[in-house]
Amino acid sequence: MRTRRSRLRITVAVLAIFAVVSVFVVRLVDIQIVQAQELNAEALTKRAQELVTYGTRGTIVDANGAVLASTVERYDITASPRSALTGPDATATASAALAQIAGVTGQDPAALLTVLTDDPTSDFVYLKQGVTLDVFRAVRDLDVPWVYFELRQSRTYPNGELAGNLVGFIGTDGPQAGLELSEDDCLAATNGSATYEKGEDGTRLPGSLVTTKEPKDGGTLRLTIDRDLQFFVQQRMAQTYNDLGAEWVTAVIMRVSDGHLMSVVDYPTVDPNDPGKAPRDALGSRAFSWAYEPGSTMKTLTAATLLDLGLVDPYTQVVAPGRIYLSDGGFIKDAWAHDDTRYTLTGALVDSSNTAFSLLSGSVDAETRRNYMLAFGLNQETEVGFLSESEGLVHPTSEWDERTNYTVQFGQGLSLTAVQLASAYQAIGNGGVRSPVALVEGCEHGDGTVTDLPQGEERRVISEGAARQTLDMMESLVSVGPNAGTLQIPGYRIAAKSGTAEVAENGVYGDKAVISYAGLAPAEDPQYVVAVSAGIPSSMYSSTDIAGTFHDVMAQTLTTFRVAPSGQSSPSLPLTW
Amino acid sequence: MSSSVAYARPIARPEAPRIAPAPEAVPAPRPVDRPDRRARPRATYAVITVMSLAVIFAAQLLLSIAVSDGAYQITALQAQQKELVRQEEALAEKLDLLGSTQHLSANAAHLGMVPSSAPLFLDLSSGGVAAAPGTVDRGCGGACNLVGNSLLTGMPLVSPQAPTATLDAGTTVVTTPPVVTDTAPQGPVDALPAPVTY
Repeated sequence: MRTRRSRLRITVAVLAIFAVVSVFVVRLVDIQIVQAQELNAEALTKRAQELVTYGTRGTIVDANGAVLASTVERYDITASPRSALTGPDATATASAALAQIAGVTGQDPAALLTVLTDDPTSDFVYLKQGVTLDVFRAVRDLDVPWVYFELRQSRTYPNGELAGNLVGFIGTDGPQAGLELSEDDCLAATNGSATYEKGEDGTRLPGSLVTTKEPKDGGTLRLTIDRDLQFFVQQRMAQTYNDLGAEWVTAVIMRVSDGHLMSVVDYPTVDPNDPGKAPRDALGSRAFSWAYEPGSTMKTLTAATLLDLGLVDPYTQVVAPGRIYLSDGGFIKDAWAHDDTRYTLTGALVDSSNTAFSLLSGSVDAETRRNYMLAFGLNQETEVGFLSESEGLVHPTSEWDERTNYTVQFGQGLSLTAVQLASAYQAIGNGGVRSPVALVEGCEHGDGTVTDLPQGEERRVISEGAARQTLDMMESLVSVGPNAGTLQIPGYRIAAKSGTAEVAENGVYGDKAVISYAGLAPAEDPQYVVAVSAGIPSSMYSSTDIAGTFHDVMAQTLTTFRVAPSGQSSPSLPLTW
Repeated sequence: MSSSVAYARPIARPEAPRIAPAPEAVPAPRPVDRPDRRARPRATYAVITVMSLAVIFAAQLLLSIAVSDGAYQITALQAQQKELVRQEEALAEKLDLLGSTQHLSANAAHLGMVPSSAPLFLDLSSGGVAAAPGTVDRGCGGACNLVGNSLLTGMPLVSPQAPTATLDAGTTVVTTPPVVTDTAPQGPVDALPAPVTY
């Protein structure tokens, strides 16, 4: 009996234990496997807090690494009126604290009190937005219990207006202009996420931070621009703007060997720190986005075309009439009245004779001439692809009338941008090979990779011989031309061409003019292209008025990049016969 | 081990006598003194067990104190690192602003410096000297800044007294006569005297 009961007891006990264990096992499987996901999620919401971690937007630097745009941390000071204004003597305590805060932030204490007491039930007001670290620390050290802080990223442009036309700016809704907008893919940071566990009182448990996704900082955008040169040129162009009472001025400096832009200046321009103050049409870069009729700077390209076709040489003789009459009774004339003049091609370029160039180019069919213009990079965006860049306009030859057929060869009836002009001159300086235009050297990412490298292929536009002869003729303009005294830089051979163009408004040529100079130095082995231009509200001015600007910008360019003097004199070509 | 053997045998025993009625003397030795022999080790084991438990708990407590202390230390250091990173960023921002071209040129002009109007190139390979194209001073020597920078509003200029003071306190400044004095134009008349350096 006893043993039976014992056995029974043991069996019952074992069964009971087994049953209990089974229940536990079933429940365990249920919790750990069947319901695991939803329980985990539920648990996480109870103790874990989601957190967005911010990457930093990339920096924009010049060719030498000088910072043009960077991201900085700013702090918003916020307060909870509800907790500030409850309790005995709360208002008095609050205004005392606000007076201290106002002392740090430089605000009016009374105004702050109004902000705080405006809605006493509210839990959130801004006391001051976007303060610097110093102010944030000072206010934090005041230790006011109902004052809180929010961190936010802000953008700063330590060089102000310098290259503001290129860099662009960021508004409240993100990038608004310039490279900030067009290179946003490079600069933008990717936000990450993390979770941390919070204790009962809401404080973060130490060591509980789990990064679920790493934030990725934006890349560093390196420009081809040289900050110091940009400063000088911008300064000089601003003086030109003031001296001439111009509507706008631009300057473009390009390295001949690779088409990189050393400086692109527009004035008036924008201070990206305070874009609201800039005129609306100064928010971008006119050098890229504003196509104008270039005038006589175009004759250089015409001469290069004719030389490349083998139809002329610098000594080719032409008799330039005062006027060329058209079948509609109109005529083409030069800027000054003259009788028949016996020019060489060089002389026609130096004196900028429209009639001589009309006669010389008349023998080439229109399509060929237009194809040369396209090869020089006209009528198409440059490789830069700047924001709202203009393509310029060279009409199809089918739309050229008798007059346009002539005028395009001396720069009226077609339009181009300042950068396109500089790029075409670069081809002449580079032995006839046009290099793709570049404004961005590359985008350097945190992992060491470099993207956004300059795009495009080099292409031969004219022969090396034609390029050389064109340069020799352009040199004559500097050595013996009408503005020779202003243009020359002692010790250097300079090649340049002037331009004075009428501006058409609503299809009619009015009083407005664009005066410009474009050229290369040193002429024996061109290193840099300089193109300056100004939009003038009066036809009283001519390119003479911008020759001094060209000289100064060129001189500074040669000094900045330590270009050694030529040590030889310019070739002497006959101008007349 | 030994106790389970001792209890198992008496349970099996009762059936055995039927098969073997003449049982030999079963060696069931010293049933009386058994509990005595066991009582002493049990107390020792208990003490040892309790003490080791106590030691384990204490060790665990100390360990978790150490771990959480480390965690707090890490948090404190991380907070400190964050503060320092912020400080560094704020200083870098200030440095960029102080190093901005407008600030430098305004201070240089304030100290009486003017752009060199007759710079020279030294060719190290040939030892030759060549005149570089000078910057044309438009009459304001960098003082009239036309490239605006709203961030510099209210930024103080450096004191023009400071460099003179350091120069006086230090070694005497050796001034050698300039090589190309006849061609070097003078700076603006109203400019402050600047140290001559070559």
